[in-house]
Amino acid sequence: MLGLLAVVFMGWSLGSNAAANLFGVAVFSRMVRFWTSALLAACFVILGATFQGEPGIQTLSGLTALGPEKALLCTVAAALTVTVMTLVRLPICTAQAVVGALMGIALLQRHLDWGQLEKVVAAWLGTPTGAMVLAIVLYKLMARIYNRVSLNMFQKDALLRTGLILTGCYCSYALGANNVANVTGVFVGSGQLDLALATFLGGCSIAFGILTFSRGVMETVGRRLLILDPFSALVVMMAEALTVHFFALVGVPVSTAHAVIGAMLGIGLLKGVETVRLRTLSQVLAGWFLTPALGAGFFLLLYFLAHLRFVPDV
Amino acid sequence: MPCMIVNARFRHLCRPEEGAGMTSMYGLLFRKQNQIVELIREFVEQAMLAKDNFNRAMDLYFATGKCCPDFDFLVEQTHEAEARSDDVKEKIERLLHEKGLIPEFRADVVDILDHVDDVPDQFDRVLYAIQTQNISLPPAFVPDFKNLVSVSVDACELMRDCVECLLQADKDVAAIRRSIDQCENQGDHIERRAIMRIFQSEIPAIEKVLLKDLVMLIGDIADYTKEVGRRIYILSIKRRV
Repeated sequence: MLGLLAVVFMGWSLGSNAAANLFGVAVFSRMVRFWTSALLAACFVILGATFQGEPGIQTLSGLTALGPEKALLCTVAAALTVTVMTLVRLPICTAQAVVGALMGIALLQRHLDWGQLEKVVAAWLGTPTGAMVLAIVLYKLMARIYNRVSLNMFQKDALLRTGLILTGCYCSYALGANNVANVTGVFVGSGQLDLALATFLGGCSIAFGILTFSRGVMETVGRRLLILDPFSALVVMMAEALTVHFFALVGVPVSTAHAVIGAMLGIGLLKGVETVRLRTLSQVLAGWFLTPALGAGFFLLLYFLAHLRFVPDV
Repeated sequence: MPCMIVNARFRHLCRPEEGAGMTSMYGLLFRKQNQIVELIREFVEQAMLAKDNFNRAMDLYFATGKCCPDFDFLVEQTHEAEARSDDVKEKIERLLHEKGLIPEFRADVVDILDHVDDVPDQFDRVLYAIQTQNISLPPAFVPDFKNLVSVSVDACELMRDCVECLLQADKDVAAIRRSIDQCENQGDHIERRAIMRIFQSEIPAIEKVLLKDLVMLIGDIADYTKEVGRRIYILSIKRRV
């Protein structure tokens, strides 16, 4: 029961943080309403988690072998980390929080699969870089097509909106497929959940977070870092979705936050560095560095608290 | 008139019929968008109807040099067309806001429509000024006034072409905008010359002031069309990726 609650807490915190990366740029380029985007994201996250969430779970569950207690503490530590970051409105990588908590365990038991960890860390670096390059290439390519399409401005706007909604749904699907591992991976690894239930439950709890607490971080991504026009927003979302889905197929849980910020920086580089608000960017980057440390710290703290024993005064 | 030549040159570029095939092709996909486009065309057509009535009223005024019942009738007709254009504009604005269409550029489009609306409003103002102040036009000033009205009407037609560019894909707004600017410059030149001649004449001072105000009111028409052209041009640049 406690395990299920931890899964829901983890999923909720992930959903509340990651929804910004799905529709944030579309909502704040004023092409899609918040509630429309939240509902669509919730539905497609569940679908993605259910149908394509297994490879990521298998990778993360193979990262370390955890007992039920540590799996629970690890999930709660990661969820607390993500919640703290959501409260300070920073988009972060949930995988970093989970891996941070796992590193906390590694500090205790010295049992960490470095090969798997290298794969994950490489993905952390590869995601923003890949998304940035992809966004630049996509922008150039799509701008050529967009400028040649024989439609008036009203029709082009309708086309952009449809594109943003479809890409947002694709992003949500990719998030569900990729990030459900961060919610339930450790429980599958510890044998508390079977794969089918883990993917569905993880997807539903992420959807719950999207619907209830996602607006704050969405504002950071959509408004405070770089204000995008609808076309650039579409490019960012496409670059993000393609990057995340690629890693989901490879079986590495990566962050939509890394992908969306990388893609936005790509657009920022194209349009001039001065368009990017460096203060917000530095806050986001600091958040990324802090997340694994905070995850490990929370785990150690929870582990310490869980093992406190009342010793009567002798 | 140079403006008339420019105007005719662009006419073939901006015929609504050109986009008709495309409209029917995308009709199902872009129903709401096409509805807005059609309403904007209707709005501009009402403004053009006001322009035609204004032009006829001014022709009558130049012929008689004063107000007459036919002139009053044309003033009413102009006003009615202007009022109808207002109604259509309201419909467009409601559609833009209620249906949540084109959110990013909604404000720009509404702003352009407001500025287009200034033109029939100005026709109204000119005719009402003549009617209410009973301004007589001495024959010596008729050529200048005629030229000024002609340039203003040309600028107004170019404005329609400019708006049409907004409603069609891949139309070159810059060239039409330059032609509107050309008309406006020509209008300014005629305006200054007419005011100079009015104050050099021997007519009573009060009539000089009334005629000067009338010249300036007519001159404002081309200024408003220039503003529309400028805004459409800026919007077309903003839309470029």
